[in-house]
Amino acid sequence: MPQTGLKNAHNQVSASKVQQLGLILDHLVDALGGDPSSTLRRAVILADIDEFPGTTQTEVLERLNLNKSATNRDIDWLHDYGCIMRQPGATDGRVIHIVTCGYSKKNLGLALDYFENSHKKLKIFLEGLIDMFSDRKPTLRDAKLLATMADLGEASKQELFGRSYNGPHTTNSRALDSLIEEGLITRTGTDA
Amino acid sequence: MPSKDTFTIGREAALQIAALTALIGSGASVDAAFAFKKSATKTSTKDVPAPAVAPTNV
Repeated sequence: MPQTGLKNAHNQVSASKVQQLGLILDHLVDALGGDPSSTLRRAVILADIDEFPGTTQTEVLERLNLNKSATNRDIDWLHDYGCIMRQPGATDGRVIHIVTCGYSKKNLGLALDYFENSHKKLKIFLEGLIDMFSDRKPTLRDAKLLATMADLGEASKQELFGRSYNGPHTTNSRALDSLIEEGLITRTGTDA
Repeated sequence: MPSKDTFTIGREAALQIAALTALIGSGASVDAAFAFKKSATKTSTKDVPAPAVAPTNV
């Protein structure tokens, strides 16, 4: 289990709850190969695998009640990005056990620090975020824009993007447009 | 020239974010977390019924 770093402990005490929400998302991005385009669902899958080390792909599907092909793609992605390891079963080589590892496990641990190391609470938190979105699969970038907006109260596009994840301007713009379309963020007017 | 549009978080989204942040930190029990999930599902925007009045511009 990763040690709670001094910086992480400081953040937990000094940041507001909404800011902590943003920091949790940052740790999850770090746990998922630094890719803010990862879906929140992928983060749930990673947290589930970490909660049940040595679990199998079938067990993950059953516990989370997810679409098989989409989840298999996410698990393949996690393996390709070095977030998880696959190990053949000791008694039955056909059974593949999966465990979180390396940078992914470490950064997930930092996110878990905010939930008293409760995977269950982290998963419910992520499910709650996912439930806020109507149709599409929300990404960590979407969630960060929302958390930043909640923290700033009112902001221009430049302020909002400046405190969210780096990436092509068009990617952030598309994400913001989707949030506006879903009514999660509203346009308050122009100050020009 | 950069846009000068300003934005804010939607009211419903702000309430849901506030509920989610209650899960962060010590003191939030898993039971409370489950209660939150239940209430969040109830108030989901997906469950908002269609308006009773039919559109007039048909």
